[in-house]
Amino acid sequence: MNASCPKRPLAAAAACSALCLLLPAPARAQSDSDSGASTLDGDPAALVLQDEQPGAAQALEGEPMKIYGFGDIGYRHMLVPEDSPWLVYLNRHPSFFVGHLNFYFDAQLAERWRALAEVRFTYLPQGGWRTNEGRVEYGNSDSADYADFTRDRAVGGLMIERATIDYVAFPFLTIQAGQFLTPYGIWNVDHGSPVIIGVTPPFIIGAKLLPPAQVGLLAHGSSGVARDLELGYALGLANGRTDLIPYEDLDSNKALTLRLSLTLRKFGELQLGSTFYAGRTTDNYRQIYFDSGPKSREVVKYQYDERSLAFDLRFTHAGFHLQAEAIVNERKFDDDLRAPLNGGLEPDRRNAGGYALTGYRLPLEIMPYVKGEYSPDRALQALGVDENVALFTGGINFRPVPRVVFKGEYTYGFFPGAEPGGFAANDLAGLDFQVAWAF
Amino acid sequence: MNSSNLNRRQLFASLIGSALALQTGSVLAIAEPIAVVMGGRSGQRSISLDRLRRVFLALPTNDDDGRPFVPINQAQASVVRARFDQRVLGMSAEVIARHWVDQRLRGRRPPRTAPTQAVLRRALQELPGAISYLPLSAADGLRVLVIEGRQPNDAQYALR
Repeated sequence: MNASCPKRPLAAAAACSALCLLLPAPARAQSDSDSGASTLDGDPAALVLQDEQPGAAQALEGEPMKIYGFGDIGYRHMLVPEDSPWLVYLNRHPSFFVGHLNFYFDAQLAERWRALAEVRFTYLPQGGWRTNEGRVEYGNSDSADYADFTRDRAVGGLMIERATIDYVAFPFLTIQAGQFLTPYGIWNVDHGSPVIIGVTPPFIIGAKLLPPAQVGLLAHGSSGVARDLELGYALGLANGRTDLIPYEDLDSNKALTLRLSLTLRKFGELQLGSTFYAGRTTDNYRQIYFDSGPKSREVVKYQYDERSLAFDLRFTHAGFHLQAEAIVNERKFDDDLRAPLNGGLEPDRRNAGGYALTGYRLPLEIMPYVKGEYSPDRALQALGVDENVALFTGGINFRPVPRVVFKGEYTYGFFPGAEPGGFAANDLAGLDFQVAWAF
Repeated sequence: MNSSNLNRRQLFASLIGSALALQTGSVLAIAEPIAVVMGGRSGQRSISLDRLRRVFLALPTNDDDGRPFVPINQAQASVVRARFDQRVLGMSAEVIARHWVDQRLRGRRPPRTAPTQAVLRRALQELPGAISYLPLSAADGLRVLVIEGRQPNDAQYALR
């Protein structure tokens, strides 16, 4: 049977034309995610397929590169006393800022080959706060701009978030080489500001108890194991943490990542996952010495082995959303190669924490949410703050169209084990607002 | 229920159906079964709903010929697309739009979209592994797959 309208009386057709202007169209809500056309075999009339995101023209085989990404603009207002020690590092004055500007460069090289790079453009290193001889000062990257009579201009930078080439070896197995996001939990892979529900990532994610990204090989895939039930898996072999040098392993020990997850798509979607990571981190410098000719050697400054175990849960059903992650990390230094810390040596340590976030998407795409966290922070541990921080957040996520998200949240945090008079005895509170978009 | 009430209801349903069809340019009558289709040369004869969902969630999946399925969606504004997404993926038009925006940023690619049925039919005939869906009446000349062991004209067919 063909469309109803041509077979109906003219009057009905006219009436329904009028109706269609008045009726809300579910599909119309997403029409803004349509995009440019693409051709096959170079003949525009031959076959035109559209992608659901803006991008370059494409053919199914050997598509040209597509560029897309996300960005966000934030406003932060800390609600702490003016002399709070936290204001050494956090916004002392309420501020607007461009948070992320991430571009994806995505190319389907052939049927089974794909290359994907994600690059974040940033103002840093300009303005980044650093401790310097007892003072905390912002970094200055001014350079004389030769195109403007050598007037000074701050120079920004870029961060390679990931850069991989993928080969789909089998439907159940894809091999990835390059810098990949460590497949753990929910937030680390979601990470795009329009995707994540809250404004700021949980402390446990920022604490980097697992490396956010690694350079090496990752085999991953998924397979249906029963009706509505899918098993996901990943096995990675990589240099380990990329904090010191992203493109060189400073020891011969390769890091291992293993992830297993189960997804049940029935009565909503339930995903349970766990990731194990084991690796060695080494810092060193190199020397030339002479022994019947020039030779070289490395001097190790510190070295530790670590193991992390992460668990994650996500359940969505209709408008309901629940996600939680827990991570435990153990690091053990080589006794002769401990890192210096506050005039002493850094101890072996076990860090553990987690968060849970739940929300409900109401009509008009409004989602109130709450988040609770209990987390260590390695940056604070370097300052001697060993206590875990407890944070409670309440906020609203409003997504008027699929590509634009407005968020506002209030956060209150404290250190349950803090000793009076210490850094950690000062509570934290603040308001964050953000508009995020995908393009 | 008297006949005039029935007629009014029928007229109203007809108006709504016609409005949707005009609005989206779709050729799908509201209650017509959705046929899952592949090219005539495909060896695929049937597919389960679970596997179909994997294919249209863009998870790598091979067809019975051993080639990767190439899922091709109908235009986003089409009624048949909305029905298919709801029945197979369990997502409304708003949710599926959010879903693919998010999946992109996670690093995954959505299926491609054919803007017209002519393009869709050519893709199905020319691209090995291409799979899509159409109103049953528009599926002539294409391989119509059996879903969960049932033909589209079966009363228990899943995509009615």
